[in-house]
Amino acid sequence: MTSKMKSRLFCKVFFVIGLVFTLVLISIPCSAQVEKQEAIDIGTITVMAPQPGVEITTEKTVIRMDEFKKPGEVRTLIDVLSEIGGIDIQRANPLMASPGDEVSIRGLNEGRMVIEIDGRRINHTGHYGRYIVDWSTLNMDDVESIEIIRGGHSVLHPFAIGGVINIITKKGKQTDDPKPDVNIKAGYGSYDTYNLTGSINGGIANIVGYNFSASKQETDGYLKNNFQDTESFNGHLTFYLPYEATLSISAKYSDMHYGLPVINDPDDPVPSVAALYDNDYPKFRKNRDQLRHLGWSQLPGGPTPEWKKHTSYIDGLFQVPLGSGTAKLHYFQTVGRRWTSEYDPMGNFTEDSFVDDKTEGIIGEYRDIKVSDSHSLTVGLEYQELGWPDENPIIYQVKSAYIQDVINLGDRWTITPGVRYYHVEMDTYSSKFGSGWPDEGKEEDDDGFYPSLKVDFQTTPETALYAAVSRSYRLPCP
Amino acid sequence: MTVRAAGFYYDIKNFINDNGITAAGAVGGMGTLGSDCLYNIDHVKLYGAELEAAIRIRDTFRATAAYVYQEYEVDETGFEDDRWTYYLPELLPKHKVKLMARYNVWENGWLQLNSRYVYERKTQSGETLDDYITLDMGFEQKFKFDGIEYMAKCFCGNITGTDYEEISGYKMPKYVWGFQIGMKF
Repeated sequence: MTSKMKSRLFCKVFFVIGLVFTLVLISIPCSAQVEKQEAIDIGTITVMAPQPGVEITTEKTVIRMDEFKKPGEVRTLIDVLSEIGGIDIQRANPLMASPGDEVSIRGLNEGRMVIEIDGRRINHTGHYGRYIVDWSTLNMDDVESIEIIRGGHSVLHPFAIGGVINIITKKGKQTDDPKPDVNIKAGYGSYDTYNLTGSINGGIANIVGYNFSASKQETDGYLKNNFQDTESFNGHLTFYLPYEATLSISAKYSDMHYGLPVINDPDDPVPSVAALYDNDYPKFRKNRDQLRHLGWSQLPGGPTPEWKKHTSYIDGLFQVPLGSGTAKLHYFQTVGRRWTSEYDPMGNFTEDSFVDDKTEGIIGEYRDIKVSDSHSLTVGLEYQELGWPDENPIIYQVKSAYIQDVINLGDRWTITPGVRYYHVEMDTYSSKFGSGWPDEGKEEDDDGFYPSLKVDFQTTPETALYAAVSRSYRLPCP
Repeated sequence: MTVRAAGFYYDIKNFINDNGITAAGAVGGMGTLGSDCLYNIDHVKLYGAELEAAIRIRDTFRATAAYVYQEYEVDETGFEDDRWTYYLPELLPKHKVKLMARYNVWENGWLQLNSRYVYERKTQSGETLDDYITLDMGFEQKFKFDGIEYMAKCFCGNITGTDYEEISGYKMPKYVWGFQIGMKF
């Protein structure tokens, strides 16, 4: 971009911003002054509420989906994260979250941060093609809020280095009002992009709460052969039991069909490829940067290069108040299969080759135990198996235990020490590169303690200072 | 007005660098698959600062500005001269600004405006991508009729028609428009 073009761009942007601000200023009476935003003081926690639905504390940013607004639709997690400070998103296209998107916090991507649903990790191993998280499958239909923790200072979340993104789902409500809340949305936009979403949230006789939702999104795509079609279904049932215990059973399913963009370049060195240039689509060069999950350049004119993906998330969560704290038992499973039809680097087309992912585990946690007036303790155990069913079912087996104490020293100081222990058994899969390459995997164990310490100081009701230092661990995946 | 400021520093030992497992194959065919696409770096350091400021003027106007600065250092590995060696942090901008603003034009009618400034950054093949600014604008109106809450929204992304690349190799679209309608009961 030349400096002249930049100047024109600046002028355009600031003209529009200036226009909006002028409208705002005109509407404010002359006597109006900038109001100081009142911090919500909950004990010694300062909460910053910069936008409706977005709250920021020293610990985390919480986005409440019923209130969160942006100029555009909010269909997937990417649509939300793109607006939050400190999060980098390299989008394959702006129409719909795609498997090619890359999300980073503090320069560390999904391989070094944790994505969770209701506190359980959904990252895969990254086996066979760096597949760790498919952002296109994380729709917002059944999401109540999103928590973002920057940095790896919480021992409550495993393998967090860059940070944690925790999706809290709607699980129904405890009510005797038989009338549910029904929400229906439909949208249409550029590149023949449309979506339809419906959800129902309610309860029966104070005994069962439910939330069901379904959605469909489709686009012709911005790039050549970059169509996308995503369907998702979510169901949550919560049983309200004696002793204030709850049992929640959840299932999420998404089915995604995605066209791999093909070269569209009149200057491509291969004449037969250059001849297929279509000026209805933007140029898409062979030597463009690699998109995550999406491999080498695909060729136009022949069979359709595409990716299909099914993902299921199943959860069972039991919680009960116990003594001064709350006990939790959480079983979880993520199962996925991805089919790829594509050209290899030699130009040979393979159809519907597939790879499976499966992550399964259980978390037992006893949290917020009031040991004394100043100590609030959380302890937990977690077991996870991550692998490739039928090929190598347990690539990683993770056993971990953690303890965290929140110590309040007077009204102003809070110290949060914690430590997490990991024991990881690794059984890497063999290479698929053919003769001349190693064809055996490697077995290895690793363990260690990873401590964390955070100190908060409430200087005034409006101002909080904090510092944190921690040592983190991650699975050695891409 | 409220402000949040944070600084961060990471010292990562045994950083497994991921060049994109397919990159080498894309250049030289299957024969070169696997060449330095994943390798170990003894030390990677990441550091930076985050600044977030929010302002609210009565109940009619709210805005947030977020600025992030991030930097990295890596130990030499000997792979630096390989065309397909790159580090994720160098593909990310050192400086980035996000603005979000909402203005209550009339009852239940909100004008929404977002803007992003992304500083220049490297491509996987070592070239430099230009910085850019984009602006998105939308309007949302809610109203009730016969006990049902309705919502209508229209929006345009990149309303200034900025010519930019988010990922090297192709330009992002101009004027991505759309509308959405909804009902709640």
